[in-house]
Amino acid sequence: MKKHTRGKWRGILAGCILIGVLVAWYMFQKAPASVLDGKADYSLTSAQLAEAFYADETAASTKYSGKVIELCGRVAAMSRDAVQSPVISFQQARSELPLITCVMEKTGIPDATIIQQQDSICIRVVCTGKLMDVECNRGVFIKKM
Amino acid sequence: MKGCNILTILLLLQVQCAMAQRMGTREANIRFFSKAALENIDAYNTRGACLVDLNTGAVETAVLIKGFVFKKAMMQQHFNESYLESDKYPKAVFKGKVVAPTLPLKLEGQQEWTLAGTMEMHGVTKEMSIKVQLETKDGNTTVASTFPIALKDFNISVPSIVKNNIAQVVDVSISIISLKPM
Repeated sequence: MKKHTRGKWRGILAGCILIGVLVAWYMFQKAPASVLDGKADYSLTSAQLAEAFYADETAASTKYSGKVIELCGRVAAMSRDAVQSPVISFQQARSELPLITCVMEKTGIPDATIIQQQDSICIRVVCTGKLMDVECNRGVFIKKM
Repeated sequence: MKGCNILTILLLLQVQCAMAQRMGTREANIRFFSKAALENIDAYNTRGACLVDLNTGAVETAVLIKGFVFKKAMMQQHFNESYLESDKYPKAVFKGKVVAPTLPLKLEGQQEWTLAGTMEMHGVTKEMSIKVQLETKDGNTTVASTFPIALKDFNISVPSIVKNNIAQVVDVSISIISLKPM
């Protein structure tokens, strides 16, 4: 009876360890979450984001870097980066403001969506900070206005 | 009056010429690769900024740490929070000069430049020498470079539990498809 109970506990412990290892492996292998999962941290126009970085780059970096932003504005240019991800730049409200440049996920713009210069659009992105431009990545298209 | 106009045009041309001596890009593709026992670590950032002044040989390259894209969420999180502490140190910056016998530099054919300068990352500034390959064809210049970075040189500490799974030296590569006047 005692031997049987000990064996049972060993089995439960081995099961728990196995489940723990599998959960850890799953967590390790998980791809970064989509910016569409959950709510955006901020909802801004491209001009508001540019103004924030222009006024105080350090404060804006602290507030917005690494955060999910729903960003709306008028498209200035579209291109592709070195790994063929779409890149959208928003028009500047004033010439002295930094450009807002967003690298989209490869599947971040649905095939049927045609985005052209001057279009007003909303996308969801992660702000990564400012170099020459205010940089965002992991962009996903939300809507045309 | 006519002479004055010609002088103005010549001055403007000279200014334009001097401006064209600054070449650069906002789209440098910066990648790093670390071969490890458990799993290789590979990440890229396609929004590196790079400026070269052909008149003085000065070079400046910068990249946002948070802009690196990983295939796995946990790797990205550890990279930003534990290793590079990107909230505290958001950029990696290389500032240096092309070691060249004559200035201004000329972009022509296949060339190899040696850059001597300092790399600032994770709050540490370290002197570095980097070799860069350039190829200019039909007016377009491409740039490529690969160099190693030792984690200990930049005070990047790896927890002992995963020490054997993360290489202590990481290969960083930079590629630029087109240097443009800036």
